[in-house]
Amino acid sequence: MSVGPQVGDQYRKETVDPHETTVNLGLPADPGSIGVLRAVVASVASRMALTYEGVDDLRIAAAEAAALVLSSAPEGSQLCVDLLPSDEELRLTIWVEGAGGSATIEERGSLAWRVIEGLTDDSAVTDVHGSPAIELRLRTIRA
Amino acid sequence: MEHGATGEAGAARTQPDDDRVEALFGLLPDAAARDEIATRFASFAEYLARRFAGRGEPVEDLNQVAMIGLLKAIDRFDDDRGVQFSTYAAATIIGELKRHFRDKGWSLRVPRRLQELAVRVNREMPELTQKLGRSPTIPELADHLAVSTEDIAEAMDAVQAYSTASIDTPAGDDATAPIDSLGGADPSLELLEEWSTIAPAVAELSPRDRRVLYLRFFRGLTQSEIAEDIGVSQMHVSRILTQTLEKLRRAATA
Repeated sequence: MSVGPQVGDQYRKETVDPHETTVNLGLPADPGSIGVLRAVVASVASRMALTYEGVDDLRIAAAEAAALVLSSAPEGSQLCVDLLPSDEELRLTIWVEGAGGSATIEERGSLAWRVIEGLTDDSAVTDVHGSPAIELRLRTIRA
Repeated sequence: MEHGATGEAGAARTQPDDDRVEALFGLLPDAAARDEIATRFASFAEYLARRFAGRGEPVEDLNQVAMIGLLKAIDRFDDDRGVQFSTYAAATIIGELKRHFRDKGWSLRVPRRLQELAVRVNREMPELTQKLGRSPTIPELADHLAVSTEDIAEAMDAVQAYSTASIDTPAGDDATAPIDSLGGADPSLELLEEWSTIAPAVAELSPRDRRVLYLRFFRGLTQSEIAEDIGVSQMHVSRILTQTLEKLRRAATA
């Protein structure tokens, strides 16, 4: 796997191909899944040109975002996470599959949002298949 | 042990729950009976202790901890409950061994190799950060330490499993609580004021934890910069952040 000639050797060895690899994660919509989410974020991010601290911060932010979407998760639903790495950034989209349009995400200004805003480069509320989602972005050192 | 009962210990190893043991429990709290039970089950305790070997604690210490667990089990065992003593003792001894590891800092889930790697990452981080003028990337760290990026990612989790008391408790006399070095008003009270409605539990945080939050979220300092400010490692700051935010989240949803 390679991300092109402009980067240092250490990224060439086991870097995910930014244009082809999306990691899709489906976990029980349960607070117990947050640990797995943290581990996967670290694993995907560790192959990118992201700083150790940035990744560490992103893990905390991802846990907060997961807690936010989980607060309106119906019984038996699934916590979904897409991780999309590229040369410029790692983008995470977190939502509960089947939460539906009536599900709401706490408005900005809460503690969770303060944390998310403080620890990522960008965050947004979006929509995935009709369920509210939180999108987080962390820029690489090359962006 | 005041009364030697060691002679029978060897035979007892194979069948610890025999009639003799039952008879001995009937004699409690007699000290000699207690000693004899302890002797009969000593090798069982050592066997359990060995299962916790290779995690950074000397075997002799583990044996002692297991023996303490065994003695507790003897004193608390109630044979009316229909549980065999060996079953009850195993649970008590393993509980004692686990607590020992918890008290020592490492959670049992963390293999030694990752504990050691976490310590190495922690040690190399300041130098690399200074050299690069920013926090190193994980591939850079992996290169520097000649390990895989996956190893570093795993060590990252290991760090969170470590209790805040260890790796780098502030060094000796030089360590000043952050609140001491402020000389006057505590600026993190600003945080208290602003966050009091969204996270009332902020008021219950220690001044140090509150300061870490303040510097990270109000002043926008990086983990390394905060580490320098309060005199601990970046990893320690990471743990403080993670644990403090978890505490606040739990309090908010409770």
